[in-house]
Amino acid sequence: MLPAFISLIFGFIIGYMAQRSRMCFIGGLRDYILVRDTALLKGLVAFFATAAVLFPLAQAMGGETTGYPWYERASRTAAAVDAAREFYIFAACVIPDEVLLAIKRATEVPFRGVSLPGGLMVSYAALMAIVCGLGIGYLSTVANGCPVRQHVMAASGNRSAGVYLLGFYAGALVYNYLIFPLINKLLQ
Amino acid sequence: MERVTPVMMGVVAAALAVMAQAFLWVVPPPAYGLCIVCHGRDLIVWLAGTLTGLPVQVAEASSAWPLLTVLGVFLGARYAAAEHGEYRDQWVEPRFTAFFCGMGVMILGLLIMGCPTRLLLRAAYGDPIGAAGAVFVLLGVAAATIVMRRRAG
Repeated sequence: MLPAFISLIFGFIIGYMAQRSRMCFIGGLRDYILVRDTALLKGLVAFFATAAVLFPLAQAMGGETTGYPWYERASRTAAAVDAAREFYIFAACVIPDEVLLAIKRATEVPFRGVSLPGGLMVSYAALMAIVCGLGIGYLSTVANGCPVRQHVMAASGNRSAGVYLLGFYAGALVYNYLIFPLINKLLQ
Repeated sequence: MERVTPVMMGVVAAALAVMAQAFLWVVPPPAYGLCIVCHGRDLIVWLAGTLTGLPVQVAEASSAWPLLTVLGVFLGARYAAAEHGEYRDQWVEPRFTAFFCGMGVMILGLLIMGCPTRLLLRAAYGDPIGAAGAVFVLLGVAAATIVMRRRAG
């Protein structure tokens, strides 16, 4: 219950500030390319830099930082990476969210990916990052904003953003009940 | 609050996202403090499961109660818009485009486990997939912007 309440409060603060600042995680680069405006881009950089500084700080203060923190990656995930490397080229890319799950899979199933000329292989996880990243960037630019911005615009009366959100949440159901089971079936 | 710059917003959002994970149990998975795609999926799937009995597959952080970040963002923005007299009923994009862009971003985001915001957060946390995803999001934005500029020109 507490994480839900915390997320509501934090979301409220972020929504308020996003509406006042017009912040958009997609708009920064778009504005820079179009009109060389760096205002939103600075916000993007500030977000990344702050997170990169605060994660180790939080860890030093005893905060919960398991997973794949870069600042102690070597000590915490050396064994995991070694195990994954046996099976995965581009091994670091298969230590995503559920690190333990990935390692479990790595020890149970052979490496899956795409062979490239020269004996190089790229994991499906890396391919996903490329294809999905490009797709998200392209579609978000066409839609005129990142998901945070779309929520802010919908809340400010923009009905197009409201329709975007309808598609957005319909997409969650489509993924969860159609695409995800299909992917699982294909990977088994 | 009258003046909020994007830099202020970026700093505060990152600080809240880190704090949520490190001290307030919005974890696992790691770097889950702020993600519109994942938290949105958790909420809608939790609701769908609760209302219809469909299976509920959400992140562990949302297993008991769904994270309400997206609701908070909407309410916060609605409050700010009302407070500053900026609420305006309007249509900007074609409905079809908006709907399918929204659906596409959600599905692609779930495939890569993050919206642009969380990809940056994951990159800052040391996840190479997050970093690669963030770089390719930027490339996608650049491609779309160039295409749109050419069409307009």
